[in-house]
Amino acid sequence: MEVDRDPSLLHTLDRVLRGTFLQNESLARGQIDAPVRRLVALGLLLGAVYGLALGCFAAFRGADQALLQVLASAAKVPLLFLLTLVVTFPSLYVFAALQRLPLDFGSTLRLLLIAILVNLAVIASLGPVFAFFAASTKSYAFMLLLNVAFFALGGVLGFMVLRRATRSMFANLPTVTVVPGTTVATNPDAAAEATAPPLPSPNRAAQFAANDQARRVLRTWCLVYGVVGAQMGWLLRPFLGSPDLPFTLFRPREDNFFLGVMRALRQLFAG
Amino acid sequence: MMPLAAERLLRGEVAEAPSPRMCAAIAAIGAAVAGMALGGASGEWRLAIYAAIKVPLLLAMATALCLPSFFVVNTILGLRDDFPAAVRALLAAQAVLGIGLAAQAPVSVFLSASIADPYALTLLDAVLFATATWAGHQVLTRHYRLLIARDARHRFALRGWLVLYAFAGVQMAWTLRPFRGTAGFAVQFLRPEALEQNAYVVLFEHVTRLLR
Repeated sequence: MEVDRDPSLLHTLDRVLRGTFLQNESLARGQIDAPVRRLVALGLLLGAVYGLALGCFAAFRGADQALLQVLASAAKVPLLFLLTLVVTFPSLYVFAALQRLPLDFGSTLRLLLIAILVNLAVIASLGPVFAFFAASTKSYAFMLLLNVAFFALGGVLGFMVLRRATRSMFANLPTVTVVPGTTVATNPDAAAEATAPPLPSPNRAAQFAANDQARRVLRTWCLVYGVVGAQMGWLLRPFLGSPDLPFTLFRPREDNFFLGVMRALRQLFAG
Repeated sequence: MMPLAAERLLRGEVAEAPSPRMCAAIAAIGAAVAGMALGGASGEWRLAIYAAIKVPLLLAMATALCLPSFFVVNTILGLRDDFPAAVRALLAAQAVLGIGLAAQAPVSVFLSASIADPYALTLLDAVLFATATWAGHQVLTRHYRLLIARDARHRFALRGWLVLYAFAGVQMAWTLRPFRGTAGFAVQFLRPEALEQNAYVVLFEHVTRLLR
């Protein structure tokens, strides 16, 4: 087992982005050897970076208590991802285990943390672009939609990483002995059999079926994660801070994310 | 030295591309020449200097804004080892964009001298900029053909770059106006409303006004 000896956070981030944690050999063993605490720390950091970029809008537009808004945004972006994970992870784990996804609890969590970290790294790297637009744009609706677009882009890339990981998880998966009535996600013999010769065809077929099902579960989960995340973002508003409204940590609950986006679109196009 | 390097950029194969520093210098000088032609058309020397600063600034800042995400996307796609080559490709393209802009500077001067309608001029400036961008894109594809042959995922990274760069570049150009100066307006480095207007919002507004 490879242990990450380099203590620097950047090194861990580099390995996450390069996908070294999700290499075939360890995935086939049903293991992901990534340091959870460091992944979470990186997530908080990257989220804060993008949060600062979001807060720039309030700062440049001279909104009420702009500094507080910047700090609140920097705290809220990581919170958004963390809370969404907390809300959706248990159900994913149960359904993934039911489909015999060959990952144990800790490794499933690590896999998702890695995908979320990719998402956060993408939006953090778009931070400068957002900050520039925040500096040069008065339209609140435009910035809101730009933010939604950047989040969606990060989500798509995070999903790509997740999909690639599931694909390689099943690509060289050894024979899984299916015991009816159990929901064991990993096979203890997997490591020993990892170097076994090519599988006979019936097993191959079963494997493809399992692959398909597990991928469907992950895809559904990503959809649920996206919807919950969008609504969580709506709950944690304001991130940008409308220049016309006084600063509040949270807005009162009203309608939902999708109505909000529709309203912004209408505002942008209809003036 | 520099004309030779420019010649190599235009004709040469990818392996013969000049050093990144030389590419950046060529891009900056070419863009400055184009800016001087634009700003000088007003007959106001200060505007010529401002524009000669602003056009290179436009290219440099749009590139700098988009580089972090280009790096992250390349890394996620597993193309990190090719990243230096990808950046060299971008710089070569910027240099050719600069060369294209400078080469069209006489055309720009001619247009300024012969056309009075400021709207027509703005449109023609956009056309000249677009053709220079096309020239840069030719070299970018020349470089990227090799990279894509090595790994098809480079195509995805390139497309992402082009979309984001164009998106940020348009707003950057809008923010850095005026390049040409308008009769009756005070001579300024930036318009007073520079940090207020969003190019896309303005465009939407124009389109909706047209359709109404």
